[in-house]
Amino acid sequence: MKRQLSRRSFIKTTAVTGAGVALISGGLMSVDNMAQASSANSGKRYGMVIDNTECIGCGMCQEACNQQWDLPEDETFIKLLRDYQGENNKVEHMTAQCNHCDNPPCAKICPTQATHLNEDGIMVMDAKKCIACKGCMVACPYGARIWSEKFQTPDKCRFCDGYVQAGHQPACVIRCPKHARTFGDLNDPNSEISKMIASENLKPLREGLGTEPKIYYKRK
Amino acid sequence: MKAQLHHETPLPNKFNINIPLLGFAAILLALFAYGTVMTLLEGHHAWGTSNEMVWGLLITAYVYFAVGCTGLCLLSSLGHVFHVKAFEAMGIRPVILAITSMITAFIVIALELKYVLNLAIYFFISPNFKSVFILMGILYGIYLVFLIAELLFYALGKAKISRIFAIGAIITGVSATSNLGLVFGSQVARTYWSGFLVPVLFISSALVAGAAALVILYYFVDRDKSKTNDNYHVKLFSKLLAAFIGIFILINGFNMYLGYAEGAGERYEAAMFLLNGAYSLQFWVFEIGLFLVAIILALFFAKNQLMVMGSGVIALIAMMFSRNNFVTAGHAVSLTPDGKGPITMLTYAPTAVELSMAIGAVGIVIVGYLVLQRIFVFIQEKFAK
Repeated sequence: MKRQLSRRSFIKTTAVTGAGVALISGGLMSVDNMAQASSANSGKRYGMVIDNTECIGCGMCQEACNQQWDLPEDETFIKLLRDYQGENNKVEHMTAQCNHCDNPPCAKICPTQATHLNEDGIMVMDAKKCIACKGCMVACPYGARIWSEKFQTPDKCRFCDGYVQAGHQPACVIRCPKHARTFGDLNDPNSEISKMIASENLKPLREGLGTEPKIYYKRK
Repeated sequence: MKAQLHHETPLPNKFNINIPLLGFAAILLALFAYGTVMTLLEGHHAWGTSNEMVWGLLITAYVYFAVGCTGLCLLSSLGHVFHVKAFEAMGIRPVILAITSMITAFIVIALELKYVLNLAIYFFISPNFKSVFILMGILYGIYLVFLIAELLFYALGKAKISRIFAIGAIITGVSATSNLGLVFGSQVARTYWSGFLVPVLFISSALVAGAAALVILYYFVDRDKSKTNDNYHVKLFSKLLAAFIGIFILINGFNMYLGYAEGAGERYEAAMFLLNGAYSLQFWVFEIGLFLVAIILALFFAKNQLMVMGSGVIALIAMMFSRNNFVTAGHAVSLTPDGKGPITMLTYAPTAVELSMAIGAVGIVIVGYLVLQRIFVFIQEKFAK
């Protein structure tokens, strides 16, 4: 009898423990679903088109960005890969930077909401909240972030946040000698960028990951 | 009535002044102190990490101690919670070791973060509940509280209440460790980490680390019996250790095979990085090789309990290499913009600062265990009815 009671107790305890783990897991998934980013929306959703067929790999976009944000020489928010051969199997110059994704894995992993999409759809960094866990650097599938010695946080392309709202274009767009970069509001169907994307069926990078990037590429 | 086969060895009622042990712990603490000072002065510049190889040995060490804590808790639950007769004489020692392991993990991760004060503030002001980091932190925090409560009520002689907290500790511990697996598994671009086996891998590795730690712990707790090769707990945990290592190697091996079977792409390259790339020595010799040595010692030299204790030490070393291999391989493949560019493998080698902290942290566990053990006995003597 004692042996049977002991077995019952074992099964009961195991069931309670298993139920507890399942409850916690279910609870965590519910919290995850409920915790929606609730930032106010300006109605704009800034994006960019980069035309690799025009890009000559001059690096002026990098230079412009570095000057705009006064970055040290060995830091850059824009990667330039000359003679890059990727999924289209063609050799082209490729510039890559933060894609300001609408489903950003970097913002998702940030424990303190230091990095988040602002009301214009720009991925920004609030340095005072950053704990420097570098989870955003690991999470980004585009390798867009660097550790910035200037800002002392992981940082990346800011879409010239603060300037574009005043009606300016990002520094890289202004400086490009071949006008390979177009910036605008993806929510405006009449914007130049929206028309380009629609008419030429342009695609962003690594669409299959579900990050919903907002930089579209015209590739060779 | 059947006589109880084994009795819990009472905890010492005074601080254990074991000079060799304290000397060893002092050396480790000095190493840790060196690493800490250099990290505080130079930050991540003192480490071997980079913009692309972001997480290094300190993240590995955090995972090592946190997951090890879960293993200790799971194994101690066999006695405290499930009342499996064979494990009841373990007593409370595994819980003491689990608490010190978890505290060590927190210390290591606090030093890895540059702005830990920001975490303390914004964890409460603007937590991101979608973040696996926050969920992991919450779960591990609650887990530690449950472990401490279990220990406290055990010391006060309230076994039933202690058992309730023990159940809570298992639930939150397993959830937290699974969530830790999700920290890696949720990285969309790091397919080596996102295999479905990763949470299972973490739990199985927890059991290996827990069993290895208990082999060592009980070897020294009942030293006289160990010398005559008659230490019951060493025999018990050595068999478990061998079994858990076997299971871990199988799961890890299958996870690696899934990467290899892809034939191309990031997950394949990460697997090959370990199988025949820059980290093949770390994988084949220091992970698989040492685990096999540990199994051989645990099984074929079982009659010599010094060898068995050695198997525990070797298993713990192998597990550290295993963790480091996992973390490094997961982001060793340089990312290309469209994910289809030329493959470039990154390299990572921990610096002396990182090694000092990872190895020196063991000193925190040793000293923490001795101190907490003493506190437990004090509470038991003063307040238990």
